[in-house]
Amino acid sequence: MKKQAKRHGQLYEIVKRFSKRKIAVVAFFVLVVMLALCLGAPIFAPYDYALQDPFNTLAMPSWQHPFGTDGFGRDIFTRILYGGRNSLLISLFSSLISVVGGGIIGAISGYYGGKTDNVIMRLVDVFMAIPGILLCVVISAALGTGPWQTCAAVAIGGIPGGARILRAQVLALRKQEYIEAAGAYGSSDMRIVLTHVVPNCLAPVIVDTTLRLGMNIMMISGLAFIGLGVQAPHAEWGAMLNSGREYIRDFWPLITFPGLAIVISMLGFNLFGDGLRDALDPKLKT
Amino acid sequence: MTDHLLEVNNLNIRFNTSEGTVCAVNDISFAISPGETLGLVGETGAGKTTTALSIMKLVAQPPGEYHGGSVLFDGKDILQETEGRLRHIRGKDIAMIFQDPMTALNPVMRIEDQIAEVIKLHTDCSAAEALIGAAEMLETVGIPADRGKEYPHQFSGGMKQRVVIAMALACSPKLLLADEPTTALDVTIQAQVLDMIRDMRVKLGTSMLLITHDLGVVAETCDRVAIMYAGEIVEQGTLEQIFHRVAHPYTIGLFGSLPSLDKKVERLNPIVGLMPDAANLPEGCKFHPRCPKARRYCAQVHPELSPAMSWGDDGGHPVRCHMFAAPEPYEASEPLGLVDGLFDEDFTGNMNMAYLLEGKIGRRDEDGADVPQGADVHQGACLPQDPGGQRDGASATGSGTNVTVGASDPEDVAGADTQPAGAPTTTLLEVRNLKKYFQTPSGMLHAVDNVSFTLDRGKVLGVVGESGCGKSTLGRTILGILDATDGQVLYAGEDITHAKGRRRKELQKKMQIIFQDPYSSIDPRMPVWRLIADPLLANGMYRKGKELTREVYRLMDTVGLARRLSGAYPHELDGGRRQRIGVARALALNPDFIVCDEPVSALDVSIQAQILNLLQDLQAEKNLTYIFVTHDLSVVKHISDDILVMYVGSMVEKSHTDALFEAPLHPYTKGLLSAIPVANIDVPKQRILLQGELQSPIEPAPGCRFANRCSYATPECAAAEPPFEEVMPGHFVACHKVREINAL
Amino acid sequence: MLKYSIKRILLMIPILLGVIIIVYSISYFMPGDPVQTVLGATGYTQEQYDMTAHRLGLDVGLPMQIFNYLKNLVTKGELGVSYYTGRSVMEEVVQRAPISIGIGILSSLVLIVISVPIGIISAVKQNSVLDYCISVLAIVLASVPGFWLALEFILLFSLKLRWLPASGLSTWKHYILPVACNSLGSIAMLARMTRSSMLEVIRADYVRTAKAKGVKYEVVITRHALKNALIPIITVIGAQFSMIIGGSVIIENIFSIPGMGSRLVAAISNRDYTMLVGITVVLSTFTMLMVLLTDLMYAFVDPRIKAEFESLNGRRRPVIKPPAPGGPNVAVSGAVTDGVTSGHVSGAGIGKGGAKP
Repeated sequence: MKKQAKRHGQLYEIVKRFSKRKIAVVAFFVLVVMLALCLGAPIFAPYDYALQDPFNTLAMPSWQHPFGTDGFGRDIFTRILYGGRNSLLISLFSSLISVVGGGIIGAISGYYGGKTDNVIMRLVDVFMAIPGILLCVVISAALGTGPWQTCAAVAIGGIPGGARILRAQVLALRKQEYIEAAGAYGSSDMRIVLTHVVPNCLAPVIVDTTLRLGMNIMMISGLAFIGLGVQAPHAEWGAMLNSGREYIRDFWPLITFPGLAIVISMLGFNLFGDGLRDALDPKLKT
Repeated sequence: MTDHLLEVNNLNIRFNTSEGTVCAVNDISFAISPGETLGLVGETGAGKTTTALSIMKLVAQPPGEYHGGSVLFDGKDILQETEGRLRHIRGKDIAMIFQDPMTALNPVMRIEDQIAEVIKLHTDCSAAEALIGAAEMLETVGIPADRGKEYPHQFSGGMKQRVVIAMALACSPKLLLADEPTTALDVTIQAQVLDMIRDMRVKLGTSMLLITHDLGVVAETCDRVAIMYAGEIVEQGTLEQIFHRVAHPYTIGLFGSLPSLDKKVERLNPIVGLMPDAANLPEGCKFHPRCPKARRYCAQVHPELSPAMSWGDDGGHPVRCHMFAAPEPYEASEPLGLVDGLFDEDFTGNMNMAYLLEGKIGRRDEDGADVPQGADVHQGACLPQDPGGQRDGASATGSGTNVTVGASDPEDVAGADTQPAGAPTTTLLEVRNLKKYFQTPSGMLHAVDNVSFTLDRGKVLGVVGESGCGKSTLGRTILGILDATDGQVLYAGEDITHAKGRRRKELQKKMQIIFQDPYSSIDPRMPVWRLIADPLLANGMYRKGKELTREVYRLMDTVGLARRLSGAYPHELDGGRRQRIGVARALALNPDFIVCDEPVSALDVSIQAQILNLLQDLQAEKNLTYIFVTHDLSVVKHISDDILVMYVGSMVEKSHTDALFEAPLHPYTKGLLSAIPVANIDVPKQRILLQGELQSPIEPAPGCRFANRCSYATPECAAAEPPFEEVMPGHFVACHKVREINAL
Repeated sequence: MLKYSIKRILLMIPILLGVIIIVYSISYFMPGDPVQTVLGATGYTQEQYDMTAHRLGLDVGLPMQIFNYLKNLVTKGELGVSYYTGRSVMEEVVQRAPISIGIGILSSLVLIVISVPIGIISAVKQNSVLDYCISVLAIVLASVPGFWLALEFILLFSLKLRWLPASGLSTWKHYILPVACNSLGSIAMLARMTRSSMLEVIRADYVRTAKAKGVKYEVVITRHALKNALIPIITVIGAQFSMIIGGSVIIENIFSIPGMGSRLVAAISNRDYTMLVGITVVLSTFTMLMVLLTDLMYAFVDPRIKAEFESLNGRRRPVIKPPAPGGPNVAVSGAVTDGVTSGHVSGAGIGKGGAKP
């Protein structure tokens, strides 16, 4: 008799509340389609991403090449799919690293407070003093080009921000009386963190991760755009944009389509994150 | 008829929410004559504030919607006025005082500018003249005019409320709407503010609509009273009619829920259940699911307001109840029976239900019919546990008084029989010179300063004081949640002040705490059963499984939570049920000693009474020892054996409860007691109004901390800290002048 | 207030030191050999190599290099010599800084001037068609990277319509596109923030008080709501400024603006690491100054924060609450901390929760 018929798990309620936000639901499905297309690029792509066709360069969109071809005669649609695979995966990994790594640091800082907190937060202050993109650029320059290097650069650049968010969260939580209560009935530190702090931090962290996914896609393509990050022959949206600058005067598809891909994915993550934030907010529960 | 200043006729207000249309105010009518004060009384969610706002047409539209009715002010319908005309009425003819002074003032605007603004709007004067007017208003409400240059954050709550009042009265309005003007304030400050409102009203001849949940405030302030329940007025009449010839079962329930200062009530008579959700009102009479007198007819037909004829030689006052409106069909239909209603209407508010489930029907005392018969359960309460322990003089005489005063109750008689005066009991807790200081940017905060007392097993010590007096910190320091700065805490003779690790864990099983805020003190992401099981799991006493489930159910039964709620999440529950979870959690480890940290101060009156009864029953049943921390003296009187009064971190008076209430010795206690509004219109009250505000606990000046507010204070008081000495047997007071004042 | 400001500026020094150490250390691990960069790929002797390394100060360990770098900075005001051009980094930075900083400040001004009013209008006309359009536009714009916007703008305004120039920085027209691309994303974000902040304030009790006083709605908004709504916005502006400065690195590159950003990108491809470190340090310092400025503005708008600033005597950042006697911050570990929070300050610290709802 633990549950009544009309009572459901929290997950169910969250999904229900999320599904009320139509725009967020649309964004979610756009993201799903995009992820499927990009991750399944070898299946869905009509061409090989490195296949050059010297006789058909800078072709305008047509039935053969829906988005046209680039300066080497490579199919732009194919390269957008492959590029998306890179962007999305790198963004996913780097976001997770930032959130988890930063989260652990922030949680330690917020939970223990005192000297530990002071040292960690001053270090975070130093990193946060450098504008985000600049920090990624510098780290990326040191690590060199390539998907993994980009991933590392973006991830490291995001750690201080992640730490700050979780620290604020933990500090706010620590003031809650239920944490005090748990201590008063003899829960150990570890237990309090695992059973009370972590579950209650989860919602904002999930939202942060989603919004960060969008941010990181911009960061990754930005790095590639200025010649860092993922470079040819790998496909990457930012790198494609960069190569398009050469032909900007008379060939627009190479600039417009990869750019739209970036915008749509970022918009997707932003809208999805917004919807998720509302769905996860316990204040809106009735 | 026409001499009414304000006439509200059949007012209806609805809110369109995503959940559907909510009728916040239903067919409300009342009138206020010039110079008269009408009290609008009800619990949270009754629609009081919405009613008040509608008088100024300030209900936000959307989502609000006026749905018929009229608000005639000076003969003109406010609801039909244009926004431009309304602006001339608002602030000038009708002014409002809001509930929370902390948020009612603009934080980034100077005080004087905020007052001057309203003067400038409604009178023909220059900015400079308005500022002068503002300064005068400040002086009138007792604030030095030069403080007008400051910002709200530099003012205390009481002073902010004075500013709000100054703002409201600046243009001498004809009607003042006061929405719980003193609820957020401390008792002594509340008394000051109420007095001031009363004086100003008389001076300006202003009529007032006073919204409150406190019948005591009503008794002291109002001429007439309207009782609201679930968006409608259920009873309306003069003070005399309501207090002497109360007719509606809800109003009767409200009176029954009040812990009283002037008479000794052993158990409160709360209203069962809780106010229905405005979006989901019951059919028929809206009160019938909670009404002990409900019959089938009540559930079917909505009663009209009609005179309570059977009560009146004066023709009766309007009551919305079938007992008076339609006595024939009411009498003819079968009684509903409250228990029936409880299950039908999804209510589990009353702990008695648990006993009903367990077959202990004898415990039920809804109408005072069933006197407790479970003597076997109750006996333990006053039985001496372990003869041979020492006890101090305070509790010796304490129980001595108990014999004489509490003899009317069978339990106390039993206690007196088995516990002759002077018989030793065990001291469970001893606190010696306990200090707890906090370092703050502006200096050392003396939260608890030199507090000592002993507490016998099975007794309840009430710790009383206003905000910032250190009462909560004291409780937490005793439990070791906070590390004591100095002094000792002895538990059963053992020094546990700085106990750590395993020993602390063991102590935590014996010493528990119930928190004030039922919202922040339970984890919002755990279902009820998990919340209650958490202490058991944390201490490794149970693993998840059948046995744990059984134990959780047992605890839920004990605190009167329906078992079917075990899967519910806290946000689905009201404050009273949440607080029951808090109680169950504290009981889970089977403690001997519980610190109750203002456990009822966040709850509505009727719910408050339910929880108080629960705590009292548990204490008697399990022979628990409580420290009951509260700011509400009437609550502690009801539950405590001894009372300790604290003021800015230090003790001022300690005595047996009855002795303290009968003859308080410390000037502060006297003021505190007299400041409490009493819900009784027969006893004329002697008021000792405490002037000024509490001293800051940060780096307090030497000497008596009360000296700056004490009318007896001499230079000696400010120079030396008064000793906490036994002035009368068992009665300790910290005051240099105690003997002169009380002619001892 | 002045005392506090000075203390805050002094407190920037250790952070700046940290920035230099970190950026220099990262550059130490960058691929390629700076000596080779200076000497060219081939055609030098070991002796020449050693001499160059010594001249560049690269023949000592990393800690010593950092120490020398700092010594140079403090004593001579130098940021080293460019590996690529051989010129003093400081000289080049001083020459280029006004351009970048100018664009940064211009973008921020545009940001504030446009987004704050839009946010307010959107909030006041909540749920109107206008509000809806602004909201949609804001979330779309917030998802458009500035560098792509720059390319599309060049495509449209420079190449197709021929209204605005695509590169250089000689007339006021040259500023339009870079500033627009630099600030549009931030404008969208700030407008959304302003809207929600304003909405929150409009529902506040003191706004209701003002209405009950008979104050005109327009006056309620401008006099009572606006200043309160601005407080959280100001902190967001500080963060957005950091975004703008970061973004300008790429934007300058696209529009061939001779600022620090374009030089930075060139420095990376040239492996001109002293230049990279120098520019990063200068841009970070500038960002920190602007964040400090918003912090001080914060105090200017909110008397509560100002009071805390002054009572703190400049001990780090504001928002410190004394533990309330009712329920101090209790560290479950038993360690009571300094109570520094990033939460919101509400009146005096010692409050009581005994109020009935």
